[in-house]
Amino acid sequence: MNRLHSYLLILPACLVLGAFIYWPILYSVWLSVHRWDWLMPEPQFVGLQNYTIMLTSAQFQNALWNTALFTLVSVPPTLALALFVAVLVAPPTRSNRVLRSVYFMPTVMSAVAIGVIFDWMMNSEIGTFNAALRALGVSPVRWLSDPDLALFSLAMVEVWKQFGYAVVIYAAGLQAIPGTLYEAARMDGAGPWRQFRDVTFPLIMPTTFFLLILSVINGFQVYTFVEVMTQGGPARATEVILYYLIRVGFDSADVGLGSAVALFLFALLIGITLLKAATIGRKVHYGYD
Amino acid sequence: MVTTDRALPLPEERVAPGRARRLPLGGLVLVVLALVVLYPLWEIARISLLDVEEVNSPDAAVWPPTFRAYVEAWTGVAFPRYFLNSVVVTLAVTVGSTLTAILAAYAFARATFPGRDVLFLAVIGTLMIPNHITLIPNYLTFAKVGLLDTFVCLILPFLASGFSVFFLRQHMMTIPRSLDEAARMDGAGPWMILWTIIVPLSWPAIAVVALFAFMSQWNEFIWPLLATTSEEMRTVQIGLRYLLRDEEAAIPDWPLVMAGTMITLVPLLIAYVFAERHLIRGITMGSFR
Repeated sequence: MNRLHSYLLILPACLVLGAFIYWPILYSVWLSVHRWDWLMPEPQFVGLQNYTIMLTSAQFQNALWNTALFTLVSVPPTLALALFVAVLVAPPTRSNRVLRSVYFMPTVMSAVAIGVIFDWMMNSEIGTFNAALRALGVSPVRWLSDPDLALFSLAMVEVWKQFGYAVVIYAAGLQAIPGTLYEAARMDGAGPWRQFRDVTFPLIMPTTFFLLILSVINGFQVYTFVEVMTQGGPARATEVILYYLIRVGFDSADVGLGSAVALFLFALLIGITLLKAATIGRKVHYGYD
Repeated sequence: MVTTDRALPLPEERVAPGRARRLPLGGLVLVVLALVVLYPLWEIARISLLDVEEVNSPDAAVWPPTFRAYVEAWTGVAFPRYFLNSVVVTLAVTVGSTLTAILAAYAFARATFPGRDVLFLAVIGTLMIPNHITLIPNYLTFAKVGLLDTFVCLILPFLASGFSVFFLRQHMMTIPRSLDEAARMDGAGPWMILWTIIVPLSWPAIAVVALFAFMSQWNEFIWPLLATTSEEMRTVQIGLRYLLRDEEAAIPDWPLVMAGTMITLVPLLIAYVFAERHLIRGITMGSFR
């Protein structure tokens, strides 16, 4: 294979990735230092003005806070539940395989379909959740229209969608823990809880860290549930960064401010990703080989 | 050696934790969780088979089922068109992105050329780049050339995937070079070697990347939401979102919405049932890179 062949072979992939992933980053930087919207048909250089507007905007701060809160309340329960379940379904029996594929299924379902079904189930008047509460004699709540509750309802849906993925990753990680460690722990009289606390939990830490980073990155990019179920409401209580970005950049056509928001989120996520890259391969060692 | 009065482990403790007989409580928790995951799917099916008026009564019987919603969805103008759009876009992207990945992966796995490592890093670097940064710039690019709201703008940005290139290249590296050499002795050029040796030996990996492309494209939401303005260009996901929140209707036609959701989910669930094992293999491999 000569050089010309090689370049021709990689050309289509590189062209598409360059034009639709790398070029947009540069274009965003340029856009973010210009003012360009319906009122101003020609882009005008404004320096860092879009960034100062963004950082002082109460709506942006609200969106940032909502995103952080959404991530904070959805990620830890997902990982805790997944680790607990993974320990139970790790043994490669037939029934465990079936259970694992059931748990994993929401991962492949479209977020729109999930949003639609939970929008139904969380409906205040006729939804399943409130029907269950009424049956239990508890007064129904407004899952998606109560500003204090809506973000938590969305986080609940996120846990439902994501935990199966974490179970599969955890189950793969658990298989890598040597069985001799459990034997040794049992010899020392450790019961199931001690075995979990002193063997499983520390040794699965790298997997937990990996899942944590990945889930935080996902959480910060939540959009579809919001768009389908609450449209950022009620009263912007569920407006997350991506929703704000699209409202500003597309609905208000303020592409300069929208690009500044996009670059802010970009820098944040790349930072988290690099944190992962910096610690990858660093394993927790407990003096075994 | 430490001697205790319980030198021999009790029978229950002798089984390795991986094979431990499951606690009845643990088994119960797993089954309940599986039901929690499956219940929304049952709700989709149940509601889709009801009459509009029956939706408001919690104990409406599914039997005898009403297929009104499915008939309406399939004979209406809108939904078949959304479905067709999704099929066209998804097929084009699945075939296209798999092809560009095969070509690029072959060059990255087999050839040496100036800039190869930098370019390969740039290709896998796209895996770190969050999708949202591309939204505003790509929208402006397609707007400038007048291709918004066309198949071109729905398909083109997805015709290459860093993941697919990476995954196929890793697989192709494991194919012995002696096979290439033997073919070259017989007078085969690089193009012949690719299609007669490398591709036939890469089918399992090609199936994984094609499956990933299919699933993520069928579920793609944000880009088609932003890039389509006319109803005729909507994909099923966008159609479903507008079916749920119609601008005119105050209350959704729930059976119709659920029938639409069901139709949207079916291709994915079929793919999932047939290819679940490949999917999970791809996901666990992809996450431990």
